Amino acid sequence: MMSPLQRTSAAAIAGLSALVLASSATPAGPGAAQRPGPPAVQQSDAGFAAPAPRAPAPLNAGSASGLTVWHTERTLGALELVLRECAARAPDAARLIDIGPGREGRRLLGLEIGRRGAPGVVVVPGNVQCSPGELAALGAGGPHASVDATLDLALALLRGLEHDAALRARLEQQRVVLLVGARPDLCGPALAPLPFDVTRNFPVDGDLALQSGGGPYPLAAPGARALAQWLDGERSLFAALIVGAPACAGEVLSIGDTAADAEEARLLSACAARAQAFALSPIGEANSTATEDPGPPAYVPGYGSVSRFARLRLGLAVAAAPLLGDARDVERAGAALYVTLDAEPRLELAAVGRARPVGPDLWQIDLVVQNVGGLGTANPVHVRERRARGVLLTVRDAELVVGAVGSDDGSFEVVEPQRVERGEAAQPVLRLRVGDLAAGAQRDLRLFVRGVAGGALGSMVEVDVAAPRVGGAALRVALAYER
Amino acid sequence: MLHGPRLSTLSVTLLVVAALVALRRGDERALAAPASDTDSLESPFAAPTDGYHSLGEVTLLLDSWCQTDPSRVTHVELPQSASGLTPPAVLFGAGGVDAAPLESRSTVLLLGGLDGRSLAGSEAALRAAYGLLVGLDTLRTDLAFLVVPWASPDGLARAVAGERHDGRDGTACDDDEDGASGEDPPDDLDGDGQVLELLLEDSRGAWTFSRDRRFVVRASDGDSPRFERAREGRDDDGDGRWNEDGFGGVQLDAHFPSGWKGPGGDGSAGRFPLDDQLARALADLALERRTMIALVFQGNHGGVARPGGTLVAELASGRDRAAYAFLGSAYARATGRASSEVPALRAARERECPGAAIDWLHGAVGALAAEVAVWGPDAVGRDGRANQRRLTPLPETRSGPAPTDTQRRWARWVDDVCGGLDFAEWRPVELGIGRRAWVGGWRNRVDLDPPVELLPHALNGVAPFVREVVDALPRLDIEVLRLERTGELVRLRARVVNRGAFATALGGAGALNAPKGSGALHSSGALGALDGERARVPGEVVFTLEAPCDDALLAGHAVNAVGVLGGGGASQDFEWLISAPPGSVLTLHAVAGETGRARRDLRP
Repeated sequence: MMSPLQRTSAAAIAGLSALVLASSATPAGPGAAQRPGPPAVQQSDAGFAAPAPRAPAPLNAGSASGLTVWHTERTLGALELVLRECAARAPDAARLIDIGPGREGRRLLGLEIGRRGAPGVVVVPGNVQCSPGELAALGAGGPHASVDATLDLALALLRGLEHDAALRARLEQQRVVLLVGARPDLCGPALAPLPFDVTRNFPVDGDLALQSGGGPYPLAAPGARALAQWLDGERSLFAALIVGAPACAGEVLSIGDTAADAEEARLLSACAARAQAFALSPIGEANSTATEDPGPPAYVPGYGSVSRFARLRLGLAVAAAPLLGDARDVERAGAALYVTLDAEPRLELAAVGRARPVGPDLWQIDLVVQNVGGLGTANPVHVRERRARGVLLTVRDAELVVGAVGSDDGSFEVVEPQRVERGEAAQPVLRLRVGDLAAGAQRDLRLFVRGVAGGALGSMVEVDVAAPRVGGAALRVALAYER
Repeated sequence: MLHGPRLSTLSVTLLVVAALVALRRGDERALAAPASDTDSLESPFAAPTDGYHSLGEVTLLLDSWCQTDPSRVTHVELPQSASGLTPPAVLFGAGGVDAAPLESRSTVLLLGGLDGRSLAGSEAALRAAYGLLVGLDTLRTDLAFLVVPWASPDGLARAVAGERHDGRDGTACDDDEDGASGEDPPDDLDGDGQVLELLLEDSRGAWTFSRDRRFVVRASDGDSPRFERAREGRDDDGDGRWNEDGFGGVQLDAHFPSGWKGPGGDGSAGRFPLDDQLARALADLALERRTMIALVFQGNHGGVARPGGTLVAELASGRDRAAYAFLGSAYARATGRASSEVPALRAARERECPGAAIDWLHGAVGALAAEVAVWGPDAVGRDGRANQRRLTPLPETRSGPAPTDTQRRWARWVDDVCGGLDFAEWRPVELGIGRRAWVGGWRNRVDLDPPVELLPHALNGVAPFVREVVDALPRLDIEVLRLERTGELVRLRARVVNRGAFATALGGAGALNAPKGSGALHSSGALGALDGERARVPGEVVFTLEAPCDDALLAGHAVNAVGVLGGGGASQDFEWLISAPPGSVLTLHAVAGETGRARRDLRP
């Protein structure tokens, strides 16, 4: 008899191509949600032609052995073996990552798939934020159900890399980090529990987290410390996907105050719609009959949980994927992952004409910067709390004298550039703070530069834009004597 | 009172300065160092010498204490600071080899200079520790004393070097989040060899000159000129902000998870609370060692402050008002200072202080925690005693808002004791970009730490204060009121008493971290095996009779919840009938969470 893990692994492999197809699925209604098969859509959002589904190759022997050991023993060693086998399966695209030490030196392990350092999504198994009582509610796999689902997702992505050109192209520009082993304390032999709830020990919510049992101080649990420090250091991750959060079995949920975050609400609605397409029965049935468009149900996770930390402190968008314990868990998680990856905030820069002289060795460059992604460049919580850092524009090969940023009425507002020293030998870099850009928003920019290297007609000025957790862009603008 | 703008000629200025120098020298001569609180006591332990000590000197002194009595004084290993300095720490306690290990006892925690600025606080912790060591044989054997005199070594090392700074450690910190660290530090603009304060004229600024032009206060509508405040220096990185990204680092006393706010602002609160390994180690020690009382010696308000860096913490510490009132009066008695008030931390420092250590020690650890500032505007007057002279009336001829009460008290100290020499009058400087600014303020850190000649006066009374507090800790005792035998029937009446001045519940009972109930209270099956049993609320007394066998108890409860026993001899009586053959032993236990225990064996 197949174990739940084996069943879901097989489903994962079989469903990867369907998963790619599903990323473009039209939001399905309740009737469509009951359809067991994948939606019959042949074009993805990214515009590439989806390959025809084909039978997956079986797992190689090494991977199968690792999975078997993991499923039977639930040890950290077995999990590491599985992840190593996964990394070996696509050595150019997948890597085992060590997040840091947990209790008694147990390492927190994960698998990174895609381009190293690229913008991406971190996938967190739900057991990272499950209190002991909630672990059992995660499905047939118990405390490890969400780990199994995350592992299945990793295997599905690896299988997809072997035959899906679109997926390969996507992961050459983005990455997915699956924190499969982020709760090593649950892997046998299980450690005696700490005298507080390690899932409420993340540095967010202040005293409320402590009062709800989160321990004497934030990050007192070594595993939580390692995970928080790693997340804080990964500045190119823009979203977290919680696979199998405790209260979202069967639902895709927003994290916190959805009303304050329209972009995130849209993202979550899309996740819900895509996940719905894979449901054997309507997901979140109680909500589906409430109103015409109830949207994703609001879910406020426990104070001090990793999802609140990711959203409120780090500014990541957070989505949650349902876990029903059936064969299609991985497809639902995959659908949510694709929607989340598609939402990447991404800046694009375009020149409005060529640079023109406005005085001796002084040039005017008119640009437009646009956020073409599905999420804003800053989490609304960060904007509200004035923690957003805004979009920064840097000019290379020339000195930025002053800049101006367009406002809604068509006028321009002067912005002083900031000078940043880059070591003693390097030239200072002048940067312009543009402000944050919502999804789809654009802003006109006017730069005045001098000292362009070369200085002659046709010389180039390089301008780039960047923001924390946002895909940046660069542009080379040529000098011209146009008026 | 000396005001720069009044001095019209150079000659007058020179005359006045010369007179003030003479006056100050005269004051110094007049201020003979007081006899130390521990001078008259003989002790095998080396006494701290007068003056400020460097980290190396403190380390050597603590080493010598450990070598003098290694069975009762031991080192405690702490991790290095961000700059690689290792703060020395000792753990000591009374009792011989048969006493409980120091590590398992309830602990009195003494921290010095956790703010990274207060060298006087470090010296106070050192003197307090020495005062306890001198009377080591007389200390309670159920207590241990953990002393960390240089709790924030990076900042204190800079203070020893004479640097006036904000006490942050050596953690690299991009304060202005521009991708570079330390690119806009303070500078000596006017070449006077000191980095003072900079007032940048700004019509929207939040500050203005007070009626006493030496001090700036919050501006109200109509006040001018207005300023933004910064450390003296240029805008090195040209970003329109002055000296906003200097040495950087984490301020350890803003780094604790009680009302912690970060990492916004300037980054001094740290990336996460207790992200700094030294601060985390101190927190872990406080938790592991069952801290009953924590005194953090630092600050310049000159008194005792209770937890309350934020409103939430202030309200929490209000529940221990009686205990803090005791601390305040004990400090006033020991030091001769006039005020025995114990304000909340934010009132004492006149600003919000999120992330303060004492707030966390009180709220999460459940310790009676307080900040003790040996230095302040009232600490030392002309005669070397606490300054109780009335405040000078404000000049009526000047306009502008009045200075704060604290500023007026500092003005009195400047005028009375230091002769104004340690305060630089504000003078305009040109920043070269058409923006006016003023440079001035405190020189030589005298508002943060007393001049070395005044240090003994400031430290006077610290050791007796700490000893009085230690002696006032809750102390359980068992009195046998009646013990009669009739055949095998024993009638026992006993009383549990708290002989300390503090109640058995301290520190808000550790509201954030209270242990869960044992569920064994009043259960006849709970006879014996008190070790490990904890009261439902920290500080709640459990009084237990251990009889020879389970069915020996004929009347009365084996385990009795007494509740919190107040200080000053509060007690409660209990009575039992026990079936006990001659020669059997009855044992009474009284346990009050972490705050005390007592045991008495009876052979009726």
